[in-house]
Amino acid sequence: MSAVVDQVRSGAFDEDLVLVERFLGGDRDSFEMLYSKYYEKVNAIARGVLIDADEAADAVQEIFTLVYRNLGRFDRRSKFSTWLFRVAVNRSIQEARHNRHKSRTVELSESLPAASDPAPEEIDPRVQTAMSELAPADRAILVLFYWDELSLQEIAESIGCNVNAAKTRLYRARERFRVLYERCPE
Amino acid sequence: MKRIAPDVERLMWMVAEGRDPKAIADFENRFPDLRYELSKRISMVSQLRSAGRSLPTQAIPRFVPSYASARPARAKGMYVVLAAVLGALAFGSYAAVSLMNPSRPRPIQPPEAVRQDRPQSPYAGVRFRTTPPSLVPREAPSEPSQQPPIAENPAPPADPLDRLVTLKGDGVPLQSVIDMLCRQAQLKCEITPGLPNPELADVDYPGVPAGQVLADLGQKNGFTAIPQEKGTILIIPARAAGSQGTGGWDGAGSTESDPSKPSPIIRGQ
Repeated sequence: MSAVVDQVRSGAFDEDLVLVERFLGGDRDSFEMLYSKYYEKVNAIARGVLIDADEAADAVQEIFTLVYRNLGRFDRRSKFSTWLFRVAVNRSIQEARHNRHKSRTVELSESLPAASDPAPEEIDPRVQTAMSELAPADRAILVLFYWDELSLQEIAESIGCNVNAAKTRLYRARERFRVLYERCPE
Repeated sequence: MKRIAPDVERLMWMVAEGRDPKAIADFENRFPDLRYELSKRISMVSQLRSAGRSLPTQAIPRFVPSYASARPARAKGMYVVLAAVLGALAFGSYAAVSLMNPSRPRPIQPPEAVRQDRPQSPYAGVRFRTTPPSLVPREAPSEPSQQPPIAENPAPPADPLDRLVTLKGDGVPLQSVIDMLCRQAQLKCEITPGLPNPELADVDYPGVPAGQVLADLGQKNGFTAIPQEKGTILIIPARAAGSQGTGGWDGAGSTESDPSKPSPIIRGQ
């Protein structure tokens, strides 16, 4: 709890720390709350990097298992969410490299329930194609920026570099995406 | 398409991602030939963002940690296995090295009195003033019977001064001779300052007790060898009063040699 108090004093309060401390104190429900809170964002990272829905679902479970097992090692130098996204990005990229041989031509929208969400024609297939042709690391950074809408600072902490490096990587990934995207027929 | 300047490129991306109509209009006014390029990027960013929002919002599955129950034991088990493997590797390496090098490093033994097969000087590390003469027998030893029966002595005497040494050379500095003698007899030698260091002519002591050699050398060159604690001698540059060069060694200090031991071959004899 001292970490929480210190953060409140410094003005950089991370409300997730309360749940983290409770979980480390033995309250399992606190982890469930963190899980529910960040499931969608972690799922977005996994989907963006892995493309395949099933692989992404497996990866999400592995990511949260990793967090569950290693939460005691969270050093609180960053926000919990940043640390979580870092785990998610690394694990997803790892998984993507491992599954490189598998086909990536899976529709992003394949599991769309018919009654909800935008009509399929609103989803640009060129995005799917271009994303599938990008390297996992490029996909990850685009997902963090455009899907999870993290700031450059948060992205930098998530991928383990400084802000300038994160900016450079983002720009390069975006440029590579643009070239692939414009190459696809409309 | 003409290459776009980096700063304009950066500005275009900022405008495309910001989607501020005023910023878009401003850009199009400043760079009219980049209007189409800007519109493409605005569309691309929009589609990219939409793809993320279009992901199905499915029900969140229940979280079940895969290894929660086994984690501590598994981690500990892994460490135990790792420690065992490392220990086995270490023992195996040690055993392999021991097998490859069965002999232990031998303690420094005085060289055998008869150097029959030594082509080079044993005093390789000793500096000589002039051309270093060899202190080993110059003549190729022919018959083992011509050599003193030192080699037949298996164990050196307990008292280093009784150990047999073989010294032979010409034009060798005195201190080098003493040094070699001490090495052969495993004596520790302390030489006080002032000891002269003449070059000795015709040094020839084949298998003679070290004490006897010292006495003889002392008599000829004006020093006394005084035994200290076991295994140590002190060389002082003067003869003891009344001594004939023995300086405290109770062995044969005169030219009368012990009939049981071979006598030194002195020049002219």
